Amino acid sequence: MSKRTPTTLSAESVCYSFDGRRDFLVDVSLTATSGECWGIVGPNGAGKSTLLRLLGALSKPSGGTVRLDGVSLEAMRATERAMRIAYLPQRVPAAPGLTAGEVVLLGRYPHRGLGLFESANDVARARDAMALTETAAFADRRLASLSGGEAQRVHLAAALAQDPEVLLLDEPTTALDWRHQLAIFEILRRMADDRGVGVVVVTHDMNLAGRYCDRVLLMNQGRSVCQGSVADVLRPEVLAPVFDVDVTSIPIEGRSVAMLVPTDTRRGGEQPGGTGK
Amino acid sequence: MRHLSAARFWGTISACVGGLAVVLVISPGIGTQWDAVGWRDAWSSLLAGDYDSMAFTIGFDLRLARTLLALQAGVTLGLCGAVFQTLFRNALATPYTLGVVNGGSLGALLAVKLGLAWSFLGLTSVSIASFLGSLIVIGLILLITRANRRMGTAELLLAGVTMGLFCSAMMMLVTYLSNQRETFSIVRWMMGSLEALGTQQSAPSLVLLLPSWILLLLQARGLNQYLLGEDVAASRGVNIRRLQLTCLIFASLATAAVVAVCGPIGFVGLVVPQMTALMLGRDCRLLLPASALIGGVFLAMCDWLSQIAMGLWAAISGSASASASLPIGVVTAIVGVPIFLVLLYRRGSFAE
Repeated sequence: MSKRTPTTLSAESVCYSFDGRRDFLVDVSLTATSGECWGIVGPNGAGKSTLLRLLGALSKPSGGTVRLDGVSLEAMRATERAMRIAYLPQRVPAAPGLTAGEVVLLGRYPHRGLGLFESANDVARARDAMALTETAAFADRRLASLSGGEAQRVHLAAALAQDPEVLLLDEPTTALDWRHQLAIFEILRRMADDRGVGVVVVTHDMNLAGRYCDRVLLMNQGRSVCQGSVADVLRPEVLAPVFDVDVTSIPIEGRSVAMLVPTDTRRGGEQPGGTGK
Repeated sequence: MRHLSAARFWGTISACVGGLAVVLVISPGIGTQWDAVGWRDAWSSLLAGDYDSMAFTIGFDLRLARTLLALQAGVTLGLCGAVFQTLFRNALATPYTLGVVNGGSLGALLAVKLGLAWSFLGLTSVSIASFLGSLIVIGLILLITRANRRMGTAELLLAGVTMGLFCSAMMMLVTYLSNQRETFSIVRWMMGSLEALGTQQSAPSLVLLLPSWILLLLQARGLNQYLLGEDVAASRGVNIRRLQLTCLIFASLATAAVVAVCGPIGFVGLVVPQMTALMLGRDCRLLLPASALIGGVFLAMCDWLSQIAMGLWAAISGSASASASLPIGVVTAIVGVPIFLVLLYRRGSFAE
């Protein structure tokens, strides 16, 4: 896998309304390009996952468009889209009876055309993805017998085996321990740097976002609060009003980005954090 | 890394087809009166071209035709069971889960109650009424899912089960108002039967079954993605709505056709797919065809047992029984449950 011609996935002032009455997303724009890692942060119910689903064409925007290299996602064939964009939801249902290796090979689906069996190339790609995510050791174990962190890495490996130009991930490190949280983001970083994949990751962890992402979109109540570089967005004075907490910044020696720690809820300001969902 | 190679796929499928071929070869020799016409008699009548002899009539027109009916019912139930268990991600799903069987039974019961006694294309009024009953249930479920586009598989299951319960209640009502003779014949019908009605009965349903089998088998790769959830499957380019509708419509139609001809034969659609999955894994590319073929062989062999057991009983008790075989649903359960429990004990869980 070598670097390809740059790809751009852009949401152009997209809106999303579930029932035609309430807007879950209003006028949000984001442009993800090859080799760049975007972090989407914000309180629960801010519309982060909704935006990610629009980017992956899992939902249709009620306003605005999502384009891949200038072509509207809705105008593309589903398989063609799937060859270029991979999506990893927050929770993948436990697939009974499948081994980790089989799950990773399923990621090759859009590339296989009408063939019934995996080609040698498919298997090689799957092995490569499993090596990268350090899951090769349990390739033949049942997915259901793996720990949460192992299973999550297997699903990430399947998304990598899909060989996408853009990788969308919804809270991939929730429920993982420290080491595995770092490991997942290390892999994402490497995908962006070495293989030129555009990464968009929804996360609640400001410090992981600060350390591994290039750009950050801060959302609240279905709107974009601000977006820009890590240094611009992940600042206590920006985050504090959105999350309604006091935020302290702790400088780390040898690192350009300080740690952010929520220290207290803000009392008095009884305004709800998200959309109230 | 284990994966489905062409060798493993074709090896397994050949073994299943081989089993099926053996069943077909043996079948002319097995029936209630195996002492009257043996396997050798039947086959030599065929080789001698003696198509009017009793040996040929019993061996092929009756026994083989009956086995073919068992095979097509078993294939359908094994295949549709595997499809539904995958589609609903539920080990308890069967081809009957969506109420097809209850609709079919209600139709058959009404035909008995109203004393309908005509036939069309060799199909009895009971069969046709049963098929219509199933169609109405499928149609209603599809209407509901169409009206509510947000309907997930859980809601679909609920709609199907509720529809089934309603049909059952209606059946109780009609049965309550029936006389003994009508009640007896409907109870008999509910046990499921492969009583030789010959090729007349199996040929028309094949017109519906063959295309359904092919269409369902073609969904295997999409169903594999579906195991990982609708979102992942959709993001990989699977058309979820089309996959769901195809599986739903054609599995239901095929099941309705089998129920119409053979009645509600239980157990095959529940346990054959699970036995197959325990032995061969959950990859639908292998699971669907293997479950279909194993279902066919399993039902055909159960049918032999039902005839042999009845023949033995007649010989022991010295009385000619009213019926030539045990109800097939009883045999499938008696044979299948021990096999299944042993597999469950040795191989572990469905959840993993």
